[in-house]
Amino acid sequence: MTTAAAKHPKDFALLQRVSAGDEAAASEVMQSLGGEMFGFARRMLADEQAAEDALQEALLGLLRTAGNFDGRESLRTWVFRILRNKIIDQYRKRGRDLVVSDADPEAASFSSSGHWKNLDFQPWNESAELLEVVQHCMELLPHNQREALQLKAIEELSAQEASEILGVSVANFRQILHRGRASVRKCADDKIGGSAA
Amino acid sequence: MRPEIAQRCDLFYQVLSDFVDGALEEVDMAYVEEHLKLCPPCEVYLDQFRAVAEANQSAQTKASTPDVDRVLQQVLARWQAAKDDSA
Repeated sequence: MTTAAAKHPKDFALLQRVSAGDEAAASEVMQSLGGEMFGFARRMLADEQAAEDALQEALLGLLRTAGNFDGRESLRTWVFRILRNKIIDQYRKRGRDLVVSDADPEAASFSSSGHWKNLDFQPWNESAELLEVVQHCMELLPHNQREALQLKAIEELSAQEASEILGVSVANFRQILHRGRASVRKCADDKIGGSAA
Repeated sequence: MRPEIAQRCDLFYQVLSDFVDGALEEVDMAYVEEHLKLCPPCEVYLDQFRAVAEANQSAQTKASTPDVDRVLQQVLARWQAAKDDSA
């Protein structure tokens, strides 16, 4: 692909330089994305060493295959897809189960007329404990829902980019995200003990 | 456009993420607002759902610079070594 054909010509030009062995360009790429990549890996793996290994392998993969980048998608999307695969490798390497779920946590919560079967929702009190409980519940999510939540949390990453990283449609990404949030809400509510729903 | 959102909690629930993210069509936003006026349980549910979305955003932090810099230096060294080997 030529620069003219690339949708992201700046990213394309930068990776062409990396591909040619330009160390300054390699540093620039890694500096610009390394922090948020490490943050994502840490939150997905909840293990400092595993996150560092995933980051190293992803960045090395990026530098080694820079010549394959065609600029049709953004550098960020491309790099996060590499990182995502390295995170999955770390899961497997450490013998951890990769649970994926499409289940809707509220699938059985509504009557045939579309109303809540149980209306006893109690407001949560704002507290530090609430944040802790929500964080804990996020860690219990199936892998695909956690990925969606973590990608959503990355600043300025659009739903389009997140869906490209995950290899799903935007509508599918939004559905996974929705079910993840709803699962966390349900889990937190069970733990806080406010509602019976 | 789904006017039933104003009447049905299950349809309200389905569009909550889009509502919280401001990704819902304007006309459906109005139906969600209408639903909320009529349905206190859904109002509480929305508050909880929004708290989850906000907690997720607030917990996202970049890794500290020294950690990242150390990894970047290691990667650069490995990359250079691989290049030297193949040269």
